[in-house]
Amino acid sequence: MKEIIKVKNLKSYYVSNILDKKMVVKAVNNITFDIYTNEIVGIAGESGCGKTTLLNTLLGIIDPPLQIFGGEIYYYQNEEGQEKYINFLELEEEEKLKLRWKLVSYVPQGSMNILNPIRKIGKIFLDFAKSQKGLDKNKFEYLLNERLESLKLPLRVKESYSHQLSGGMRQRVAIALATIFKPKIIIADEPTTALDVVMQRDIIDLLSELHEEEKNTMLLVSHDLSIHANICDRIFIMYAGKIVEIGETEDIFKNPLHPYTKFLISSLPKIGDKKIKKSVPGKPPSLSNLPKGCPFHERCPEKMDVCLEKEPKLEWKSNTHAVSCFLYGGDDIQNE
Amino acid sequence: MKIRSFANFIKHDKNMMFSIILLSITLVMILIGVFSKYDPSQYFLFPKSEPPSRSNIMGTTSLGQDTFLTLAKALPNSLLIGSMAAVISRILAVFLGTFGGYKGGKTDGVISVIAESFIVIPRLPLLILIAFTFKQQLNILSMGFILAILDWGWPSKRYRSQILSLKEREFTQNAKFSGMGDVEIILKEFMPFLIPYIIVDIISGIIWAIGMETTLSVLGLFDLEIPTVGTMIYWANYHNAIYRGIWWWWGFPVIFLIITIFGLYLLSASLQNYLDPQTRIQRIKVSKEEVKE
Amino acid sequence: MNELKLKGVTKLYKVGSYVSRSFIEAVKDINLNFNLDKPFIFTLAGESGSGKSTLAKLILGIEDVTSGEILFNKKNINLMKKDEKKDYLKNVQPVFQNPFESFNPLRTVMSYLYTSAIKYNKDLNEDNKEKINSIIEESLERVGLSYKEVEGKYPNEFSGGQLQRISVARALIPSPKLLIADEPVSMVDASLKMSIVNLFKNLKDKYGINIIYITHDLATAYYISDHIAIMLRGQIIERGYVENVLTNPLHPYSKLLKESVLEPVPKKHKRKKIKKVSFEVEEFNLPGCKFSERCPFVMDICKKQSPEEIEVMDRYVKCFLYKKENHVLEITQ
Repeated sequence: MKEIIKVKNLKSYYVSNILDKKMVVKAVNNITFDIYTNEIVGIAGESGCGKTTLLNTLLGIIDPPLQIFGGEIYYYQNEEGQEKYINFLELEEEEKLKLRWKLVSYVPQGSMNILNPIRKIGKIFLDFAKSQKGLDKNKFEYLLNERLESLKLPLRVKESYSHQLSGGMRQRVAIALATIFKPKIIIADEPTTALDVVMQRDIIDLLSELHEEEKNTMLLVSHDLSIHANICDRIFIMYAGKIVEIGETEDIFKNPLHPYTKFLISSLPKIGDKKIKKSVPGKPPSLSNLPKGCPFHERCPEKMDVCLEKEPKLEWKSNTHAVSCFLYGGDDIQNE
Repeated sequence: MKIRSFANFIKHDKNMMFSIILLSITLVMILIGVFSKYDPSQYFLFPKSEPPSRSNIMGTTSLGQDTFLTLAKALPNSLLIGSMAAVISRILAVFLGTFGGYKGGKTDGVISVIAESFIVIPRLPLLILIAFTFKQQLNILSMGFILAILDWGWPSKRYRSQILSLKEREFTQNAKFSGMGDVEIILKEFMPFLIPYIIVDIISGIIWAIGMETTLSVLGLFDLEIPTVGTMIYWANYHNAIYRGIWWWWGFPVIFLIITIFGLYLLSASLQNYLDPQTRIQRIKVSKEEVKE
Repeated sequence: MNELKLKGVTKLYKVGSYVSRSFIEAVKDINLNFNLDKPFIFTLAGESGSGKSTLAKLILGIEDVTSGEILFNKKNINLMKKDEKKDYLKNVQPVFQNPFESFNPLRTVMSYLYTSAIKYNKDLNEDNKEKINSIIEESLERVGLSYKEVEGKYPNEFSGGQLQRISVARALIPSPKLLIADEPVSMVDASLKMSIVNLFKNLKDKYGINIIYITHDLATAYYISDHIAIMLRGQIIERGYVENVLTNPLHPYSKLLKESVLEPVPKKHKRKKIKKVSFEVEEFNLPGCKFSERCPFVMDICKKQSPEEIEVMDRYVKCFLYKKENHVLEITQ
């Protein structure tokens, strides 16, 4: 298995200046991970932990007040037999865009709401096609029909407006739009939020099928671990701008290491289970005002003295399972 | 905390700073005009058509008035008419727009139709007609009122649409279930959203009204004995000041008109930014962070 | 005895322009009885578009019924006079879905608590500050918050979970007999959900408050409720004790709902194909059973007639698959 995305020590912060007060929000705070071809990775974390910023950075959507403060992103590209890793952040804006279009497709949060309400669906797709220079109209029509069929959308969707479709159908249209050119990487931000249980299941099945058929790589962001359980191969647990645990789905559920992960898993309700479940106590720290030491220590039931002073490093405890927590020994990060 | 953040804001916003400079100039003129005992209707107090000199810093008019002091009397009048028109029209607009928007149904339908008819009226021609017919009876008060009645239609629609959208928001329901009555909801829940608009709207109303009154006066359709910026320009034109090179007679009124209007415009632009609900929420957040540290 | 009765409650919405009008039966012929003296948590479950939120609005009096009656202690709420209505609102309070929308971002959250305290306690006015504060404090304690934590703060200073708790605290101040919670946790992070759900459980167990819990999340429904009613396109197609209905659903739609639930158990490769999605408006206008387009057990009669509600085993069901003869269960297929 090859790495298709490599991220090293990535730092991207929001810096804003309101009324002479400088505020630095450390949304992506020194993150390192690899994503391999043909896998589905889930990023789990609460609202405000930096997940969306991480995605935006990976896609090169770095508009002020967001700034990169360090780190590298490498994308794997195999063009005409030539393999190479491209240093994404060092590309010019135009080249970044080109690379993105070739490799990555993005399904943003609430994407079902981005469909232009006064254009028919078919026209929206055409608009999109026109933005890709040198595209044959007939070929596109063929691709479109194929895509709609594989997503189980009736062809007459092309003649409808977005408000005539149900939420689930709109989400499918958004996914169709994002994946029409069969990208190698699909990044979806909270694809099931604001959908009811039937639609959620629908979308997850859909993404699963897409993955099976096209053998692409998927990166799914969601705060709901039940989603991850049902589709992801590996899960990254994100907290306060950092990745605190990485593992295969089964491992994360059967043997969670980080206390935060343990809370997340044990709080999930199940039909048939009336045992008392508890949420994670307290609330996440403000990313502009992080506490000293481990960012989780204020809510951690197993905190030790060292946790208040030093920050643990993400370390591999097995081939596939990594955690950043002093409970498992390990070093601390040297602060810069 | 609020005063401090406003002071901070003034320091940083260029629009606000320029507007304060410009409006201070206007304010000084107004104060001079209010406290001066000069009577511009006394013609031939000074030598006619003299260029600016040490005794008359803006020169004199062909009617023997001191340009500077006449302008000092004229500017507050123009501003008074403008302010009256703006305030009265916005009171009408807020009241009718809010009432119609909140009640909905037939009430809203009726008020909307009335507002629309006022919007559709071609204002300048109508004003010219009214002014022409009632030229002698027009004074500051009546001009203010007439301008007010012609300027409430469009704003009322804007407030109505604000109310319509605010009505649908969930906190309105919450307010109802907290036991608040309709009037209370409008005042306590909706007004904080409307007030920024109203303030900025009033300023733009002043600008429009001053413009209208000046236009009418320049055309000679106002009581020409009352000194306003417009009537000064009228008299200057009447005496062919441009051709005769008596530039100070129409020049200074025009300059001060521009200063005033531009100052008001910059004020409204910067206030619009400051009072926008989104930035207010941001400021609340930041100021709370300050307090924490 | 305090009771809330829904008799044949129907709500129609007009769709379309003056030229071509049609109706959507958002809620059709709902019959339910609630005994408010015995604390319960009743779940109204269904997809979006099932009519559950509309039914909530009807019960809260935010909208009027098109036909049928909602009777609170034998009085029709749509015919109530102003003070009777105010009394009703004191007894039936809402908790809405989006905690960030439930509060005006330009006002402190305390202002709502304060207003509720004054408006629903007749003998209190602005001078009894102490008494008002103690009422607010008590309510906040019930949801696990303190006065200090909430004082002087604006909505954007809280997390979704905290705001939702404050919403509940506000709803509790009038001492209502019934709390209507419309999807109270669907916009709250999964990690904070359970604290709100546990709160509802606690309110019923410890303070005897009745709750109608509206959700599409069957797992939390199972966790806290006693009864459940499943809605499909405006009609209740199955209702009964939650253990029975959710462990062993009878109606094909209930089965679909249960199968759709994503269990928090890693099992990537077991996938059963769910039937295609349909255009929403079309499903509403189907004659006969609204599930006929998607039902794997569909029969001819389902497309023509709408099934009646019958009592089967330990619950009520609306489905032609089941027949009740001589009070004995018979399942036909």
